[in-house]
Amino acid sequence: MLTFGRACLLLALLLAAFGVVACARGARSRRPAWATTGRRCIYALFAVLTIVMVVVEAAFVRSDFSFRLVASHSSTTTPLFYKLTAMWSSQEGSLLLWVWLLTGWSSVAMLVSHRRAPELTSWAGAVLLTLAAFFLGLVNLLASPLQLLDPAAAEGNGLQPLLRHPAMVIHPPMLYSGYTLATIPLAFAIAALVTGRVDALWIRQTRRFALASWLALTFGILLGARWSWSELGWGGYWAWDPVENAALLPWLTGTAGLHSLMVQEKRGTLKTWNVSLALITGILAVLGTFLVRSGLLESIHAFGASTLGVPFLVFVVALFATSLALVVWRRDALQSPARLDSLVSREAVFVLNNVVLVGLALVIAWGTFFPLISEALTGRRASVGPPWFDRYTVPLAIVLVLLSGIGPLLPWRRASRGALRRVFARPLAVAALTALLLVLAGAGSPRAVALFVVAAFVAAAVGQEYWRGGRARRASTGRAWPVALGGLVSRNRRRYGGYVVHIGIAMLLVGVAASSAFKDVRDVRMRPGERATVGDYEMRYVRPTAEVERQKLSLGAVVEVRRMGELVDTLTPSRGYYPVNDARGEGTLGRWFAGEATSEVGLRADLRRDVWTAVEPDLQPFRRMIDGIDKRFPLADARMEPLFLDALAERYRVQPPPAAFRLIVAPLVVWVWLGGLVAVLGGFIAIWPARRRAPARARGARRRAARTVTMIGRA
Amino acid sequence: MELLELLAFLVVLWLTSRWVMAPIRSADDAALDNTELAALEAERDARLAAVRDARLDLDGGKLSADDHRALDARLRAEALDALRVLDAARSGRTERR
Repeated sequence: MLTFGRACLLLALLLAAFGVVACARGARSRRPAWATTGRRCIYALFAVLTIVMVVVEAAFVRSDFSFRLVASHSSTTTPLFYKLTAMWSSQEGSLLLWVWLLTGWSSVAMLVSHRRAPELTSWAGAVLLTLAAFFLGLVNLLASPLQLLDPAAAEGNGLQPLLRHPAMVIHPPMLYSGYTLATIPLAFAIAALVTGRVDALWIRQTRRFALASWLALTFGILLGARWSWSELGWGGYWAWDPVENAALLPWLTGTAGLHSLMVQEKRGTLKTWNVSLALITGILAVLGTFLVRSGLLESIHAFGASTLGVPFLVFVVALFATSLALVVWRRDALQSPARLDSLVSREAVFVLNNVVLVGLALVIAWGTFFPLISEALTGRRASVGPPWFDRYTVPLAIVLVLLSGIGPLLPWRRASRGALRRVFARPLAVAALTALLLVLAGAGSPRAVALFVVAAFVAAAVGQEYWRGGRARRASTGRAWPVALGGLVSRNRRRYGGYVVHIGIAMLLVGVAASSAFKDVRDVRMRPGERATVGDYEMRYVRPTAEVERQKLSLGAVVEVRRMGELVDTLTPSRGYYPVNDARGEGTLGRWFAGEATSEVGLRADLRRDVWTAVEPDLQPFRRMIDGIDKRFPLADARMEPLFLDALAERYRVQPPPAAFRLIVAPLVVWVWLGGLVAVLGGFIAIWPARRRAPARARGARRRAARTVTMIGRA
Repeated sequence: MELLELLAFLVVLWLTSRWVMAPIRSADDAALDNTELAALEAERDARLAAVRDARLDLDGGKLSADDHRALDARLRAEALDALRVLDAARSGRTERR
């Protein structure tokens, strides 16, 4: 199947290259035959790449170690679930996934747009196929997932232990969906600039894709953070790692774009800004992939030895230069006729929100690329850590949350003083009351308190919006509250879905603020029976645990958690050791401690706080035993290995060495996950298509709307 | 096995090239001219949405009844203009046909 897969991959590259020509010719000559052929190239490309994906997945399922990719990222003992997803743990496989998703989303974009805006769609198709051709060039020439291993390995290396986590199975496809969906607005923005049609049409064609990209990125980032908290064993969910930041940058500019697009739709202004945001978000999406693949910046996620840095850099620079040149070329067409009527209006708040979001993106980009900047200027690579990021991002985040509460309270165009008093009174009162309660409760950390206060303001503002809207709907329909609210949301999904997102983001940031500012952390070394205190909690190392599983040795601890003398929970953190499969002469037992180890965190989470424990056993006292067995039984076979492991586990249970523990009590961590999920729910509400009316009813409704408008016009 | 793979690839190649090239072989020379109409429809929808939004702002207490009346008249006039332009474009298109 390797030859068949390779031939299909080459066919995909040829299809992409031909498709670029066909789409461009179709758009330039304004003839549908070439445009249709170009579009069909995209559909066919998706089909051919689906065949390649099936070939690679089948090799993983069959454990066909004549595929180099399978031998290096799977093994016969890897569970089927992880075999199916092991492909994107590799550089080659994830690039294939990227281009497959790109062609999938591009096909959807072509299907929904080609009738309404054929010329724009054709140019956009040319751009999307150019992106696909670049990635297909990489997977054909530099990072093929279909490389032959001759002779085939008897056994594979297995999946990297850290990636054996359900969140890691969905996290990469989610992020890549977010990245690839962000290229659709980029392609249509370029198409709009090429054709000179910079009105709201390209926005209308891509709005849902921009929102889908935002949704996928939000969910992907959330899954990554959850994995970090529960699997990485360092005690945090966000480390300002370059690869984390790479996903956050397009999220920030994409969020800005989702707001400013509305201003162009309603007021016909911000054309240059919107087209620039769509371009920069798409470029940041490619840049995010570049950061993971290039090895340019050190990261726990990055594939450091990659050779793809130079081609990626050339491509990103070319994309940026082309985009910039197009914006400059069309600067006259991008001039907006309308101006802001008032600074006290929703569009003014959206502009301010955009400034803050882009400011955040700039700060994060500066911190992320600082190692490169410092090396270029001083010759010495220096990096900035989490305190630097926190210093600048926290104040901006507070302003952002505040704006997400102010925006929904203001009307479009202009607000009168009376209206301002009416709509701001209750949310401000709630915020003031929250501030008072926090001060009385003696809450420290002014930044955290400020965030809680503005979050309370947002909750009150959004609650008021729902209440007033629901009340008006009840009055007009006479329905019960739940039905009225349901009708209100379903008829105005973008508005009320957006409000839910605001609540979700406020909840998330409250969780971040509380869990960062009021976190208690202790690193202690304990023997069984010893205790340590963290915050209000007392943790007792009760006894060790040791378990031998297939391909995993788990050494851990039973930890009792007490608060004011009462048993709260019993946690069982552990450290998992996985054998290395390559013969490096580590020995029968030694090979279990020569590879990667993972942490299984002991976690008790509720709405108020997380109690988090991780353990790292001190294996020094076992070194003699391990070396002794490896020396005495150098030729021990697979049948002997479980016996040695059982002996080691038994000794760990009977004569436990001291173990290093990290103990954390962090408030409101669950709010981070709940807030993220609420934001995702809001995004779904906003993106969900409105109920389609039957054609005759729709025509009738349009006629009625036209009649009403006409009557008012006459009046 | 190699022969089977070759045959399978030839089938994929044949199907793909046949389907992709079909529109060029049966060339239809009608021009791509929907864009103008689609842009006008987008404009019309945006104007009608603005009327709805103003109503929601009134319900939400963000606009007084007087402010809403004035704004609503302005927005409906804009929507009417958008509808007139769209109608004109549509009738022009029908006449050309």
